[in-house]
Amino acid sequence: MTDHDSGRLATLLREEAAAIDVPAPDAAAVRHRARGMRRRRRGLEAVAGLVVVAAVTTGVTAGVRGAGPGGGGVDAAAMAAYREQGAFAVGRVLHIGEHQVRFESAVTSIYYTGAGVLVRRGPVADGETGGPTRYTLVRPDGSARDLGGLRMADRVPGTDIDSPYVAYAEPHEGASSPRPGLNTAWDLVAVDVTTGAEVARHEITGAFTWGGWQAPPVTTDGTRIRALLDQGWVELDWSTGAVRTVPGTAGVTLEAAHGVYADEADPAWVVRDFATGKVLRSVRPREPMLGGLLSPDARYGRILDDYLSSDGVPPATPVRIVTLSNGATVTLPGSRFYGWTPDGSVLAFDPEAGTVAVCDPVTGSCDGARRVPAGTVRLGGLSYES
Amino acid sequence: MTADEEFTEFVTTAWPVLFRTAHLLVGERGLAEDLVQTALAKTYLSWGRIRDRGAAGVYARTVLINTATSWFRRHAWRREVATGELPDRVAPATSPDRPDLAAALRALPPRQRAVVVLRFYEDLSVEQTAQALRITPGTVKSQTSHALAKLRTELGETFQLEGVRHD
Repeated sequence: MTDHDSGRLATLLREEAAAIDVPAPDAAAVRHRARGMRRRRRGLEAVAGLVVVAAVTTGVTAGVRGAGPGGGGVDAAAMAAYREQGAFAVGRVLHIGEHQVRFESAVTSIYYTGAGVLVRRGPVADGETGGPTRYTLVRPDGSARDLGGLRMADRVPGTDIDSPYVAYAEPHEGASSPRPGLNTAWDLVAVDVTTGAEVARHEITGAFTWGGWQAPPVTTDGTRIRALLDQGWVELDWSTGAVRTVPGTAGVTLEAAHGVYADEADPAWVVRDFATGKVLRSVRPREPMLGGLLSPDARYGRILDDYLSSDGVPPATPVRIVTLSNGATVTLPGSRFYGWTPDGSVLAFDPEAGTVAVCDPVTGSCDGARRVPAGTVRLGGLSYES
Repeated sequence: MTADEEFTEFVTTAWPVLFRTAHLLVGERGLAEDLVQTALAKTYLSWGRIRDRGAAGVYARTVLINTATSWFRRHAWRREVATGELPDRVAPATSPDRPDLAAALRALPPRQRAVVVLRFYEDLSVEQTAQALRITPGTVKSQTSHALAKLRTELGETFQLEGVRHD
């Protein structure tokens, strides 16, 4: 982009804005709406607290240092520690269970799989400053395998806590359009992270105009991959080749895990089973048009009662965790960033104390706080896709 | 002056500025009005805590962007405003002297449109835009690059030639 491009665009935008016919302000209507919001808030404050999601920052790529070779079995104790304690990264160091793995560049995303953590380094988006994106499997025992052939860049992949696969979508070969939204043929791809081998590639069709990524976002569990197209979640079972559009999902929110999906069906956040469509839980956030986040095992939900932090500081407001099977709710303190472990416990990073703890999603008790060094913290179970 | 009178005065002043930003962000009059009302209602709820009334405009704008970002996250909202298949070219310019930027903006995905509006209309830096939209600075840059390329395609020679004339 040249200076004259940006200058010209700014001028055009100002001209466009000046030409907009602005309706008369109505302060009384604004106050009326505000009082309605306040009534809703007061009604819900008696029930529980509220939650905010926070994203942290970024890093760039390189190779793995000091990690053992991939492959081989993982002992039960290491696997149990991974499932219960999860993973998080501080700058270049990934903490998984009771192990640490140091990379030569910062970790930018952590995806839980049944074989360990899939780590992304480098930016998610391709661009003039994008550079390469690298993926590495880190097993629960700390051994690592570089997945050099995996290229996903500006898209949202899916993983599952019980599967060794990462799934993603890409424009079907020969059907790619230079303009997002015009392509209607996609390949759904599954890669076994333990071997790096592509195990499935099937074509689906449908428009994807809503997201702005290079391909539709996906979720996966077992041999199913689902892509969120304009028509809703399109599900592929790559063991049989069967494809279906999940009924009633046109226009739903992008939120799914371990066989369930959620929708911000204002005023409630509704969690449904992909297979049956049955409502598993419906929760009303404090703010209209907000929703919630599913735990990786889909047993718990974190309710978004407030807007996201945009300044890197966790809001002081408490956090509400709901057990989806029975609706039981616990409230965790605010001023912390919250992620998940693979088994649905809550990972809590307290930037003030410089600690990461694991909290029980049923009782709310937190223990095993580990002091972490200064640096950018990324928590497992959170999406850092932009 | 009572707090309500102060707020009414603030709404009268802030409304046109916020509405223009909202209209550029969401591309539709009714949604823009809804967005501004929501942002101002939230500002009203915090009115007692905004001691520096001069900062109220910045506060309201932040709330507006936060609210819009939450809307962008809703798939249903995106579908409501989507035009389906994008045309090869946008509709002809409404004026021979001014290209139809509104239509070109509407053809952009929401994130790209927001990046363009915040950077080139609100004059935010890459870092500020990244913070406002909760994306990385690298993504702001790449989204800007993609958006500019699309705008050039949509606006065609008009955009380029007009730019040259303004140099």
